[in-house]
Amino acid sequence: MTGFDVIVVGGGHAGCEAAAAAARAGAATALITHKIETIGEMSCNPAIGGVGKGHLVREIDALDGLMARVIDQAGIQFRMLNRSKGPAVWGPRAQADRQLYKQAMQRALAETENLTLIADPVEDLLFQGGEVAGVLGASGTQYPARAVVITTGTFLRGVIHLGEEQTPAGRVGEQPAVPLAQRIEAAGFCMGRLKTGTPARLVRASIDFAVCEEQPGDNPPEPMSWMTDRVSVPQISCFITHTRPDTHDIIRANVHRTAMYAGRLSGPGPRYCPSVEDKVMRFPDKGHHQIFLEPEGLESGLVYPNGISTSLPADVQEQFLRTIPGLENVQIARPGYAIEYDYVDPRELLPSLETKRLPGLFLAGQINGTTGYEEAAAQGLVAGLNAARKAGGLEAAVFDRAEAYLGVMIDDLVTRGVDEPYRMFTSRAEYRLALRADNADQRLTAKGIALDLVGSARRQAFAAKRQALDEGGALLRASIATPNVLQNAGLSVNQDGRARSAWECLGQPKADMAELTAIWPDLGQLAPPIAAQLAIDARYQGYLAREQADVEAYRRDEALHLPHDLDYAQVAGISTEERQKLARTRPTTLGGANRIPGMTPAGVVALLRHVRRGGRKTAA
Amino acid sequence: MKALALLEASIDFADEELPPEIEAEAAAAVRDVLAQVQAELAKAGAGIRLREGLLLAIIGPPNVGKSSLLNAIAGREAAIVSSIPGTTRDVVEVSLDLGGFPVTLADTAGLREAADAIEAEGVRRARGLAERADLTVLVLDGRGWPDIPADMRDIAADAALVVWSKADLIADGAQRSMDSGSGFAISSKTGFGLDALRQTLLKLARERLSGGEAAIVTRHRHWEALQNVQAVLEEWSPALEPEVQAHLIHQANRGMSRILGRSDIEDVLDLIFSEFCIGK
Repeated sequence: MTGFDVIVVGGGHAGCEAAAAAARAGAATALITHKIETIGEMSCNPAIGGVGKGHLVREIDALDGLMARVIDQAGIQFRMLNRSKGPAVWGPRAQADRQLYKQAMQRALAETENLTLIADPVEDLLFQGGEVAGVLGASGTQYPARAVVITTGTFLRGVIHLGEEQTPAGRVGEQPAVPLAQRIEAAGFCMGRLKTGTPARLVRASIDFAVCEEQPGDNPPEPMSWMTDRVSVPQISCFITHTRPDTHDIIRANVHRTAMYAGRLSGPGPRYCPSVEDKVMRFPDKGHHQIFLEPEGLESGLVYPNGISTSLPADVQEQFLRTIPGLENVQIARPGYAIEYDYVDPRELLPSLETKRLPGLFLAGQINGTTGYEEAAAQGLVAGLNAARKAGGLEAAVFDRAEAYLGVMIDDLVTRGVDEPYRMFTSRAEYRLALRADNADQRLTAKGIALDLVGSARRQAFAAKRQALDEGGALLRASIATPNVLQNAGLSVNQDGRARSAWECLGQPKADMAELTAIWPDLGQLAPPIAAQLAIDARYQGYLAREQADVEAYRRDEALHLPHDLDYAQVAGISTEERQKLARTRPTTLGGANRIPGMTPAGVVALLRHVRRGGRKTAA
Repeated sequence: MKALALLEASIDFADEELPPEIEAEAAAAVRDVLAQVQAELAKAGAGIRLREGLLLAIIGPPNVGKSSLLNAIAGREAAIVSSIPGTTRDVVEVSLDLGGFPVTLADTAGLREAADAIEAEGVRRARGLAERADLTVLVLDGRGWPDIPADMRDIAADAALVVWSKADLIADGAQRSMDSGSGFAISSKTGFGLDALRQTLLKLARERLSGGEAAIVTRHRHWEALQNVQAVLEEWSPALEPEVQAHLIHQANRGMSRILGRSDIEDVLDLIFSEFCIGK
């Protein structure tokens, strides 16, 4: 069989973006998974985006990835979360029709040039001279490749817990990837175990929505992708209900029957995605917990009750569900469960997501200890891009904390590791006012173009928008008025005699483009999306200018590369604990060393001195 | 830290049922921190001075004997003295131990319309020093008593002490009435009044250096960081967008971590998850 440049193993969210990114970057790519039909499956919550996660989706889109465009073809309810707060933390989110999503994703992959889809469970890696050189399928076929991206999610030795029962599986009804896990473990990777959970799926017709609170979407729905003009999928509402004290009584009485509370489950679960039994046990004072009833699709007969993931036995699930308003007669289509799976300590990875241990092997998604489709997809994109660059003999492309949430996420993973499934929060980003969902294209598309990752349609759209923003910005700066004029127009300004530009006026809290247009009618010519973007840029400019010093300090530390073969035993003046942490993580830059939890400023200075003295400043 | 957790919770968990009083609680927490920072800054003065020494500036018109006074207190010829007005052009500093307290004595150029550019710069520095100093001693020519020149009155009002010099050249009666309240009469030449002046300076130094509880902030670098924290927190207002509030608090937090060691976003997240039932 002829070889590929890049092989991506797995067809989940990470795998799809990885394969598409590698192919866009010009690599002959194959996506190999055990079933073509489940490519793009949403195995948990049927939604994309949210606060923090929505930022990742926009960044994927800015780099010409698939996720945003696909959800625009499959979203049945779009909402901008955090609308009451400032635009830096607005989180675009969309409820998906599972079927439409999967179809749109498969269509997008089918339309991608340089990409072949192959159905064959991957059992092992092929090696040549210490480097990964392809994969072996269960069919016995060898698939040679220059670089391999593994995105097997929870399929690595997955075990499903449902009450007292345990079943080895990846998703319900699918086999876990055991031989591949053994190969990875045999290579000496540091592994850990995590768990996550999912709620029961409910029969839509058995729910009384009339007693629930209706939650409509935004009208008109705002698309996730800059390449989507408008969403044409019909829009529907979600509904909100809540647990009651008697729900909690039932859960408390049966909690010993869960794997978690019976002590059969060892891996820690995410704090921010607790099972309903965790919520009830940990916060006994709370009288009720919110539940979002989310339809799984336009035609689907199923509803996803968001907020009550559980691994209680099926009969108990039915019992407690029926105490919930609207669910008195509910039918369970499939009970909820907890799943425990292997992950690879992400400190085994370089910022390119290539493993340090096996050159040519890249890992992306849940296998790296993250949770969520968006986190997986963003890593997939970076891993796919870098696998293609590796295959093409190019140097790795890295995104830093000051330019993208995906940079923040990957840096967190590779320098700090994880002790619970990692989820993106806006609070993890130091430069949050600069890293916004609204400006992801302005932050990243130019870089994507430079990396040959962006197709011609988006290149043209981006150039046009960039020009409009430049012209609009110049117009705002050139529109100047005295404080007197501004005050007469209803703005509150200091009467200090200093003339101000429209740009400056927009920097004030609660500034409004419509008010300014009354003063400078020319501003009315700006296209609404351009005006909106400029208003947001102007609003944060003052804070961003001050943040710049922090960004520069950060980049200085990032510019100091640490040799990958640095012998930490030789570094004088650091504690044994610090030495162990450094040796384990092997940070690629001084900044990375600084961000390892437990490193002291004195230790970082000692490290800096050692590297400077050694004269081996760069090992890039 | 608490304020940050509350704000971050309200930002990252938009869809959750968070207690409505969360914003008021965050505001209260910020105000509390700001009050503590302000109190710490007030105490910080003593801490820094104890470490870095009390800065005592000697200022006054030209040729009143400021340099002579410096030399007399220091007990050596640190500054050049002459009868020519404008001899001292730059700041001359002497460090000495005043009854166990570290003190830096700074002699400055006489304040007047400068004759040349160098002297003008000296005068500018003298005024700057007077603003920065912990204590200023205004020296005036005793023969001109009781008139304080009009352009010296603002400085005289701020000065801790007014010293009338050249007491050897004036009549006894004048010396006594000067001692009675409006200032010290001294003579650097005869040593008259110098002991009393030293005692008074020591008393003032003791007051400023050992005031109140032990200060956390004893380094100038920390003091600057804390000043920034104060400025950022004063800019904060609950009327701002939550992410701008959080940005300011993060900045304050970064400033604090420079003084106290690190605080980490994981600590903030820990606080969020232990206080709120969040997540789906």
